[in-house]
Amino acid sequence: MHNGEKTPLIRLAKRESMPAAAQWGIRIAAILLALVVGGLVILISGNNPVQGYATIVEGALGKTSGIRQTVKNFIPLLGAALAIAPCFKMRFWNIGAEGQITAGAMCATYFALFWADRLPQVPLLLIMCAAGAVGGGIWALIPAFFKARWGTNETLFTLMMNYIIIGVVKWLQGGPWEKIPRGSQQIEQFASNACLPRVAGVYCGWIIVLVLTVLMFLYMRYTKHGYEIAVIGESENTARYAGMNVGWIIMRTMFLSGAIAGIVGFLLVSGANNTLYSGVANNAGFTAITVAWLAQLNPFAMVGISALLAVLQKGADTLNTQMSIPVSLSDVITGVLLFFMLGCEFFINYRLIFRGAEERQARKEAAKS
Amino acid sequence: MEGTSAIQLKGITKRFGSVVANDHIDLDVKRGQILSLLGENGSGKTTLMNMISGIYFPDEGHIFVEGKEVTIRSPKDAYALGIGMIHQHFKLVDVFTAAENIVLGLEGKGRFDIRSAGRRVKEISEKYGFDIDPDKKVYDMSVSEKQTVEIIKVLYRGADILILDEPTAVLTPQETEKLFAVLRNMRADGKAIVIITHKLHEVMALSDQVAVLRKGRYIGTVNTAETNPQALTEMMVGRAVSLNIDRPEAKYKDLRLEVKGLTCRDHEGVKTLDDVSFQAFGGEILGIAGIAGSGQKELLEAIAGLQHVEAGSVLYYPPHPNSDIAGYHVPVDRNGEELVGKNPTQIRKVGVSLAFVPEDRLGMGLVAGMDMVDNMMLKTYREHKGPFVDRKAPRALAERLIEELEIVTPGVSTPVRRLSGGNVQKVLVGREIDSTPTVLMTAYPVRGLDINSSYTIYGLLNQQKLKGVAVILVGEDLDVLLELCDRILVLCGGKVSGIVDGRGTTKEEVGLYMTHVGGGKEAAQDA
Amino acid sequence: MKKRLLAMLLAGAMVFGLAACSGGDQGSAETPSSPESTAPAGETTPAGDEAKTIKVGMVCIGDENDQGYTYNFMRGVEEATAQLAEQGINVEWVYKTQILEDSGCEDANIELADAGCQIIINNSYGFESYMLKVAPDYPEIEFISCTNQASAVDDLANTHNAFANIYEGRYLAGVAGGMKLQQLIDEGTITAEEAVIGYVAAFPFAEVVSGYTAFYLGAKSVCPSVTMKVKYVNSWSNASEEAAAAAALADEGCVLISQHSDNTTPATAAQDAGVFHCGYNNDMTGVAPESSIISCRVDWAPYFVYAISAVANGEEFAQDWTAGYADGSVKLTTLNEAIAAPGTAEALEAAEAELADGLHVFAGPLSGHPAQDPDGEVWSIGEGEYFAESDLSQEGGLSAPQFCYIIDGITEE
Repeated sequence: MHNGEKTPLIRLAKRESMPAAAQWGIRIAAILLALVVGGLVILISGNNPVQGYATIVEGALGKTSGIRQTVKNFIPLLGAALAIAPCFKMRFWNIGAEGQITAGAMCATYFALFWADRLPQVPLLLIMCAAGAVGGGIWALIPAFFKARWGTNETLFTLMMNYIIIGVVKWLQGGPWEKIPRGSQQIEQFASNACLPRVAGVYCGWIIVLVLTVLMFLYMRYTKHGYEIAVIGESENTARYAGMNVGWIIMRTMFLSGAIAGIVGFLLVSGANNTLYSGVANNAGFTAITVAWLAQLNPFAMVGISALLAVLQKGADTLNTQMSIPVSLSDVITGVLLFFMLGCEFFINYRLIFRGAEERQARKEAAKS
Repeated sequence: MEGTSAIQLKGITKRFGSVVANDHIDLDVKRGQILSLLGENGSGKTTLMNMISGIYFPDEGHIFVEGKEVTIRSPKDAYALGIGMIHQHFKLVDVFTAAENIVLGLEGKGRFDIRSAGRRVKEISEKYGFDIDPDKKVYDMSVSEKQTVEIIKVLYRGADILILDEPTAVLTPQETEKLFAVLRNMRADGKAIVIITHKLHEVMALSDQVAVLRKGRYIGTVNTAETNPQALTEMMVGRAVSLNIDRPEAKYKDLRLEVKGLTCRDHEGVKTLDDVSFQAFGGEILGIAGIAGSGQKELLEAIAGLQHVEAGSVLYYPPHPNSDIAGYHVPVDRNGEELVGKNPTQIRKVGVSLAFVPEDRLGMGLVAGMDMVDNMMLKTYREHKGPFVDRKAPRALAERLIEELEIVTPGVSTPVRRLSGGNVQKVLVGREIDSTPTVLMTAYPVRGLDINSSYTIYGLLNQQKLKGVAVILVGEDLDVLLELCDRILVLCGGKVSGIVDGRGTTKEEVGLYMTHVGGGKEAAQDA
Repeated sequence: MKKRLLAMLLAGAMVFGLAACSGGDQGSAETPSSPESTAPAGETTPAGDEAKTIKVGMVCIGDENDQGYTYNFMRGVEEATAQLAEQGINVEWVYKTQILEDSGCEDANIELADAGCQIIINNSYGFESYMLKVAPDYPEIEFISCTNQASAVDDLANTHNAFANIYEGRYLAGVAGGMKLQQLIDEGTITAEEAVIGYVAAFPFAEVVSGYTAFYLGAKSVCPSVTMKVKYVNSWSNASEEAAAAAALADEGCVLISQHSDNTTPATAAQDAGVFHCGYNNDMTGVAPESSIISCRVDWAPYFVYAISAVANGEEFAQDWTAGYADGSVKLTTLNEAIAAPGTAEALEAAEAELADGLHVFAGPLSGHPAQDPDGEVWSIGEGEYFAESDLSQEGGLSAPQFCYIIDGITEE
């Protein structure tokens, strides 16, 4: 088209595929770009960007106590991402991990509060873990049942379920489970036998989520269940044609997903907080969505992404303390980084063609030959 | 005016990633002529036309309308130049009337006058011989009526270059004739018409010129009067091809399936199958014909256990003891085993297999994002004991199929999405055949395939038939059904309107059955 | 692929959205270098003594903009910093604001400890249990939990409690309010029975019950016919709920509103309803000049000076601490003379003198039932007896308020 004026300035074209090296190149470029933009944010806040980033890294990884805090942030992120992975693989948009974590935490707390005097530590913890799994599982099963039965919208349903369970915990906190003397809106700190032991300074939840990572990988890759989930994710019709009971598989997978989220809830109450409150999930259920997507549902990649986000979370906190950068600005930096990371996937899948670029390219090739 | 160039393309090139869909294509469409754009699926016909109608933007090349170079960036630009395209998938609003759909999206000043629009629609209809009621709602229309609306819509906007993408794919032979008559009227009126097709007899019957594309390249344009189907096929495929389909006789013919009074409803309560009864025999290909959506899919699904059956029965009889497939499957009652009420896995174990190629090819029989290995075990993965899947057997099967069916793929680990249409269908049909079925049901197995691959698939079906398998084939192309099938069952509105002998029937007879229950006989008597 | 990408972006957008939402309640940081909160280094270095710098962290439930609870702490910080500077002690403050009473508080304490703070102050009651989880790991750091009571009695040497005798301030504010009620009765605007106080209370909880009882007793000392209705909003800080409770109380015939909650909305609601108001934490005459008579507040400066100078000088300081009106730890805001009853200032002076003389606010005869348990065993003390509130000289005495009975004349709603 000679009439260059009328050619669109930028066009999008889908890429067929891209060598892995180039893909990583784009990802690294995206992160670098994100760091530059984030640096501008720090600069605007009146601080030195380099020093800012140094503070983030040092705050998160510099001291033993910092690393512990980072690991503490890391556990629920990875756990929740693992929980939602099978659902997302199935294209069942479970954004209710937040609520499922809370439900699991609540059920585990019941045993921590009322059975701690009757049971020794190991059986008590096992029962709490099981209660968490069942609680989270059932909370996830409800929307799955409605979806399988009546085709309700799982996105809205799971989202709404979050608010319900958070409300219930709020009520318990200020009502029947409130500690004495009343008025604190807090639940008693757990007895020591209801608390997970520490390993290397952090509660042992990190070992549990790492084990779960391996199990989830095996489950998704090598089991019949994992296979069924993958088929349904690609096409429900195909699954039906293959004789799969789609509704049953949806419910089973959601139960599993909720159960893992519930175990995360158990880890949080028993390990991290030693008590229950309505904000126990602390947005991990939502951030996990980002983690899962960035990791492209690969459990091992989730370890890396969760670790990165945990570092950012802790680093942002330190940035706030040390350099008086408001937490909201630290959140902006994290947001920028995530945005670029998600956005770069777009450039991996599509390419931009600028006006005239192809003609130049063609001329170049012609000149070569 | 007649005979002058309406639209000219020079060196048009379009790439999708590394795939060159159109490679420097030249084309000249003249006024008062019908040009057939002929080519196999994937040869780039639709892509080329989409560039003229403003849906895609060419990477290289020039477009001239009335001798002047133009830039077409959107369908709106195309309309402004008098170019209108009728797509395979109609873009109509169901709850609007014909007239409303026709004027929809037009920019007008002041109050919109639906009545004068209706008058103009009538004028256009009368001029070219369309049969349309402007006030009829789209949801009440047949496929052919909807197509008419699409064509009028384009004419209403003043198009005098019309592009029709596979317009006859969804029509009965009778409707096709009507459409051709209209197109001839439009040609007489001086319009330039391009029809995209891969059906040779239509090319011969309708067009003045034929332009042939092969694998994205322009092969040449010939005058229809100076060519013949064999020559066109050679241009299309690139080498000589035999156009005859075999119809061998099997050694054993025995009753395999007996369907009695089968009735199904969709989830809105509408009957999709209405008292369907027929028999299928081993050693026979039973073709199922009918206009799209007459219950073909539902029939196969009902037999395979994938549809809820409201009434009726499907009885299965085991194969002839001397046939190749005897003894492969669970022995069943000689007096016939009821399949209704069994789940899909049980029915498959009996030996009834279903290979359905949906419109988008992938999505029902195969999982596009998975590799061949994972697709091989789609229906058998449960048979392995324990919680884990076994990928050894399916891998072996995949490797064998690649060899036996000459499937072109980089390897067993390539997602089937990356495979070309023909290879995808070979994977699907190959897997079904590998389960040594006694009843092989397949729908649209050659949908979108090139001629060569189609013949491979026909060969596979014949092979099965000779083994004693009862083959049930739902097809789109009547010509193929007539050549391949031993008997043809015609569905119309979920009812069996007739079962005819493939060797003794005509296209017209089947066409009449397609539109009228029992109408075929009356019409035959009238004739 | 396209779909997937869209889903990813949606998920991303969602996460950002949530992050943005959560940003609001998890908060922003203070700027410790703001001129009013930090003494400029070296400004006042008394001769002879080398300047010492103490780094103090404070975990706050709100921030300085809440115009209530945390704002009141910030005023104490300002005042204490200035006073300490005169002693040659520089204080570097680090804040964690908008911290919720959950494990975020634990993180904030660790964060401040790692930032090198020598003293960490937790300003809200609900912080203590989390503070106590961190304190054992940092024995060299002094942890202070304001308004709570577990640090005083635990076996950790580095944890402390502190609370001023705010009930004295409440009592005095009650005197000012009662004067107004008595004036209304005397003028015939209301009958003696119509002298009803409406109290917007956070929770049925000792600190609150003790406070409103003191307020009621103060009012009763000058207006014998007064009664009081208490409405709980079940939140320390919820501006709209507090306003709604105040408006409802005014509707029910209360002619004076007081509050134990963090916002100024009860004052504005009282003004809108045409009734009078006594505030808490902050002078509310600015927002409700026609309604707000007086407020009482805790002045944290004396305690901060005490604790910080102790650390600076390497001295031990008390594990539990309290002080009252006479010590300057409890203050009244300027009396709104324009609307206060004539003679209020004199009445306040008299009451202050009595307090200084050792007047017991919770003096018999009093009887009532336990808060939250109307059918519980009736509690009573006779003439000449008194309830020793926040009296550390008593066996087992704590700075945190303990009085938790609903006495006759007060009704809960």
